[in-house]
Amino acid sequence: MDGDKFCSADSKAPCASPVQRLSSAMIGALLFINAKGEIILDRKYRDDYNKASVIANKEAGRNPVKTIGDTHFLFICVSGMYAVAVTTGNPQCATCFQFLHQVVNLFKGYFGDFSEESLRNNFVLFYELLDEVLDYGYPQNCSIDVLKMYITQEGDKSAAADKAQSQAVTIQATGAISWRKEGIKYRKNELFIDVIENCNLMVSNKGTILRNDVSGVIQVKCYLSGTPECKFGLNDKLMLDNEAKAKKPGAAAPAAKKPGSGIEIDDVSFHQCVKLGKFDIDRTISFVPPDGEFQLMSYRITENVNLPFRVLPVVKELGRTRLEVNVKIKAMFTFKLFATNVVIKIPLPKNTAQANVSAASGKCKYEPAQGGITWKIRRFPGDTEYFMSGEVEMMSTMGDKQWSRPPIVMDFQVPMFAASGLHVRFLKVFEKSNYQTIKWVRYITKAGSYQHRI
Amino acid sequence: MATTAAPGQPPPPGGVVIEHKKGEVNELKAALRNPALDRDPEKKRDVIKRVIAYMTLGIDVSKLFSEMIMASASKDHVVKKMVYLYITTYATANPELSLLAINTLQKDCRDEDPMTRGLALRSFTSLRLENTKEYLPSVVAAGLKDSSPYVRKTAVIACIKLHRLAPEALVQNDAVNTLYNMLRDRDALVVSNCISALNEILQHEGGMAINKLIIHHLLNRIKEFNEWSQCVVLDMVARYKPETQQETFDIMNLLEERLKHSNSAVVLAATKVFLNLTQDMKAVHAQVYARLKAPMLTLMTGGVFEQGFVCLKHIALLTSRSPAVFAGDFKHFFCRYNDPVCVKVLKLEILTTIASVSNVQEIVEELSEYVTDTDNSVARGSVSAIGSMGVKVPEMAGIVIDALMKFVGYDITDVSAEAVICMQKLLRKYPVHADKILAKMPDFLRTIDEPEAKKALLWMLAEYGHVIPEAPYLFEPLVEGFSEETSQAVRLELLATATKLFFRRPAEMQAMLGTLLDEAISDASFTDVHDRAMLYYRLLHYDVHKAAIILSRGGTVDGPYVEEAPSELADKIFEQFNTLAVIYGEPAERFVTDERALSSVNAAAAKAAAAKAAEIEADVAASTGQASAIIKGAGNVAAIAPFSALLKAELMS
Repeated sequence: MDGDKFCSADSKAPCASPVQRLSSAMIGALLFINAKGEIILDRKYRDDYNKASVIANKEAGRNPVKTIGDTHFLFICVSGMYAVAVTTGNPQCATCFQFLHQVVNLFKGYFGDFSEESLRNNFVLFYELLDEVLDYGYPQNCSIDVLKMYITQEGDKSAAADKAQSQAVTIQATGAISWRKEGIKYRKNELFIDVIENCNLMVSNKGTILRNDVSGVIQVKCYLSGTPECKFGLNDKLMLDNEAKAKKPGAAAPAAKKPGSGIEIDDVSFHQCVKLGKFDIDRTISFVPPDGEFQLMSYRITENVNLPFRVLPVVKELGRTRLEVNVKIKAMFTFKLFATNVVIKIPLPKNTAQANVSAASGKCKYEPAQGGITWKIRRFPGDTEYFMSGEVEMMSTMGDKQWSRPPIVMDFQVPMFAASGLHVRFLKVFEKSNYQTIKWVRYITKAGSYQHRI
Repeated sequence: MATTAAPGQPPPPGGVVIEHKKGEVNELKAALRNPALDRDPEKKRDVIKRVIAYMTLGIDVSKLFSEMIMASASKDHVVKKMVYLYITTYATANPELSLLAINTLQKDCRDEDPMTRGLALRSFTSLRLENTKEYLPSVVAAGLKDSSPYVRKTAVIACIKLHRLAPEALVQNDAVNTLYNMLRDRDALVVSNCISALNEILQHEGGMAINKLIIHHLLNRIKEFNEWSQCVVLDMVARYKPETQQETFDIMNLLEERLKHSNSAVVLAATKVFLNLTQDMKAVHAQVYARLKAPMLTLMTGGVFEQGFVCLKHIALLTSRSPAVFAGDFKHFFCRYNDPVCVKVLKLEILTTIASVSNVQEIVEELSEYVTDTDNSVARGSVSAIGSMGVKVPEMAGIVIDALMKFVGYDITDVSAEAVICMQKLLRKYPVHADKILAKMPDFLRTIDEPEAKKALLWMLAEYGHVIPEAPYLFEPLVEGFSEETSQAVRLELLATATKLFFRRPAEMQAMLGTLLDEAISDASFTDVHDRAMLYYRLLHYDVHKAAIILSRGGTVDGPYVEEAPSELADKIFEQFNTLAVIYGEPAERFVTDERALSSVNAAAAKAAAAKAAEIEADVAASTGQASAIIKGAGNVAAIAPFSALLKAELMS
C-alpha cells in the first residue's frame, strides 16, 4: 500500500505507480439464471459482457467464481436459480456474495419465494428494487423494511405527492437507524424467539470424535409497537461471571458458581441493530429490533456439546461379495423429549446386488438410487436405542476400485432441545408506553453435517 | 431464437417466430398511441409493463422509442420508472430520438418530489450519450446541492458516470472539491458514495487522498453507516497509515467490535484494516492473527457455502503468512464427505501449510481417509499433501513415508503414482529414509506405469544404484521397453539413469548403456532425446573420468524448495486482501485488463497507449516465435550448444 504518500487532502500527492488498483465493490451487472442456463432477467449497471458466453458456460461447477475472458462472474445458487454478479474489476468478493444473498432475501421478503416463476411474474417490481439497491454498481440500501416503504405495487399512492411523507421516506432510506421506521403500531405486542442449532459431528471409523461443534442462530419475529429497546440475556459463561462479580463484589469467588451453569461461546456475530459497543463492555445484548422477522445473532460453540445421537455401526466385509451391516442408534437426550424425522443413510457399494435389511422400528430399506440403505424413524423418543441389521450381497466385478466407504449420514430434528446447552435467560422490552409484551421462546436442534465414518 | 438475442441488437432477419413477435410489437405501438390510454392509468401501466416484459425476454422493442418517450410525461411513479428503464436500455441505439427524452428528464430533475428528482437524475446520467454532455454538468451540480439526501447520494454517483462520459466537464465543475467537502455531509450514505466516487474519479492518482482528519471523521461516525458503506469506509481506513502507535491502537479498539458483525463483508474489511495497520509492528501483528482466528472460523463454518469458500481462501492466505496461528485448529479443516471438490482441495492446502510436529500425525491419519475419495483430484491431492508435510516437518518424515508406502499398495493408479512422486521429493531432502523405500523398489517398478511416477522411480534407482544390489537387473526390462516408451520425459530419464548407474555399476551397465545410447541416437522421434543421447555419448567418449565428475553428482537438497520460500507475489496478493485477487491467487494486474483503459484521465489516450502496447507485444511475440523456430531449425548443434558451454565451465573449475 502506498497510503502513506497521502498526507493531506489538498496536496497533490505524487504517484509512484501510475495505476494503483483499489478494490471497490463495483458490480457491473446482475443476472438471474435458471437451472437450464437461460437468463431470466438481467440488469446492467455499468459494463457490457458477452451474453453468449454466459449461456455456454452454464455448467459452472461448484466453484462460485468463474472467469470468462476479462469478465468475472460471481454467483450463488438458491433453490435451483443462480444469482450472478458480473464485474470486470477487482471487487471485494465477500461484499459481492453477501450482497447477492441480500438481494435474494429481499426478493423472498417481497414475493415469498425465489423461483423462476415468481421472478417472471414480478419483474417490474423487481426492476424497481434492483434500481434502488445498486447505483452504478455500488450497493446502496438493501434493508427490506425501508424499501417496502417506498417501493410498493401501488405506485399511484406514492405518486399522489404526499410531499411530507415522501421527504420522510427519503431521509429514512439513507438514515442511521435504517432498519426501523417510526410509528409502528400493534394491538398485541408479541415477540417470538427461535433458537435454531445445527449440530455438526464427524466420527472416525474407530469411534473417536474428530469434530463436534454447534453453529446456531437466533431468529426473532418481532411485532412490537413504537421504538422498543430490548435487552437479551443468555447463559453465556462470561456474562454470568460478570453478573456474579457485580452482585457480591467482596466475595470474588468464581469457584462458588455452580459448575455447568454457563456455556462458553467461541464466537458470535450480531445483526446490525445490536449495540456492539455495549456487548464488548459487559456482554449484554441490547438492540432496537427491526420490524418483522430477522436473524438477531449467530454463534459457534465447540466446548461441551451434548450430542443428541450416538451412532454405533458395525460394517463387516465378509469376503469379496458379502457385507454385514449392524447399526445401533442411541438417543442421548432426556426421555421427556423426542426427535422427529430421523433419517439415517447407510451407504453401500455400487455393485450391491441385493440387501436384506430389517429394523425394530421405523422404515428401513435398500434404495439403489440413494446408493445405500435409508432408515427412517418418524418419532424417536429420548433415552432409547434402536437397531437395524442387514446382509448385503454384491456382484463380483473385475478390477474395480476399492469401495471408498462413505460415511453414514444422519438427519434429524429435536424440538425443545439445544445441543450446546444454551438457553435464553431473559428478554426485557423497554418502551415509553410501557406495554405488556407476550414472549415466546422455542428451541430446536437440527443435524448439520452429522457423519459417522465406517 | 429471438428470445436469446441481446436487447439493443436487432433480431436476426426472417423466421416465423419473429414475424409473430413483430406483430405484437406493432400491436403495442398501436396501443400506446391510443389516446384513450391517457385516461386509464391502470391500462397504461399494463401496456408499458408488456413492453418491458418483451424487453426482458430479449425481443427488440426499440421501435417503440418515440411512443415510450411520450409516456414518460406520466405522473405515475411506476410508469416513470419503467419508461426510464426502457430509455436507458435503448438510448445508445437511438441517440437522435433520445434528445426528446432530455426535456422530460430535465423537468423531472426539478420536480418537487425528491424521489422523482433522484430517479430522473439517475436515469439521465445513465444514458451514456454524447449529446447529453452539455446538459449534465448543471443537473449534477444542482443535485449535489439538493436538500434531500436521496438526491444528493444519487448525484454523487452521477459524478462517476459524468467522469466516464466527459471528464473535462467534471474539472470545470470543480466537482472533486465539492465531493471532498461533501465528506462532511450529515447523511452517511452520501458520505460513503462520495468515497466511492472520489476513489474512482481519482483512480489515476491512487484514489481518494486521505489524511488523519478525514479518517478520524469517518471512524467516529462508522456506526451510522449501513453495512455496505462500512465496507467502503473500512477499505479507506486500510490504506491509512497512523502517525503514532497510540493512534493505531485507538483505531483498532474502535473497530474491534466490527469483527462481530453478521455481514461477512464487514468482517473481512475490518480484518484487512487490522492486518494493514499492524504490518510494521511484529508483535502486535502476531496478536492480530490470533484475534482474527475466531471470527474467521465462524465465517467459515457458519452460513452459506459461498461465504465459507471466500473465507477459506482468506484463511489459506493468512496461514501461508503465519502458519502457527491455525495449527491448533487443524480439525476445523478436515473435509466433510459432501464438501464440493474445490473446498476439499482448499482445505488440503491449508492443512499442508499449518502442519507442525504436534499435529502432523493426526492430519496424516485423517488425510489417509481421503485417499479413496471418488474424485481424483482430492485423492491425489491428499497424497501429495501428506508428502509435502513430510518435506516440511523433518521429524515426521518417517511416519509420512510409512503412509505413502501403504498407499502404493492400495492399487489405485493415481494414488500409487502420486505416492511414488512424493517419495522422490522426500528422498531428495532426507536420504536417511532411503532403506525403507528401496526395499520395495522391485514391487514399485512392476506396478507403476504413469510417466511422472516412473520418472521418480528411475531417479531413485539411479541415485541409490550402489545400495540396491539388483539395480541393473531391475533396470534391464526398462531398457528393453525403451522403443515402446511414448513419453519423452521418461525416455530422457531413462538415458540419465543409465548413465548415472553406469558410473556406479560399470561392469553390469556397460553393455546396457551402449545399447540404449545406440537406440536413442538412431531413433529420431524425439529431438531432445536424440540430442541428449548424443551429449552423453560425446561426453563419455571425450573423457570418462571427467564425465563421471559431471554426471554423478548427488541430488539432495539442503535448503527449502523454491515454492516454499516467501515470494513477492504472495505479498502483492496480501495487499489486495478481501478482493478477487485472493480467490484467484493472483494479483489484480493479471486478471483486470479493462479497468486501466477506462480509468485514466484521458480514456482515449490510454486506449491508444494500450493499442500501442499490444502492438509492441505482438511484435515481441512474433520475434520470439521466430527465434524459437531458428533454434529448432538449427537442430543438433544449437541444442547442444548450452550443454557444451556448461561442460567447459565444469572442466575449467
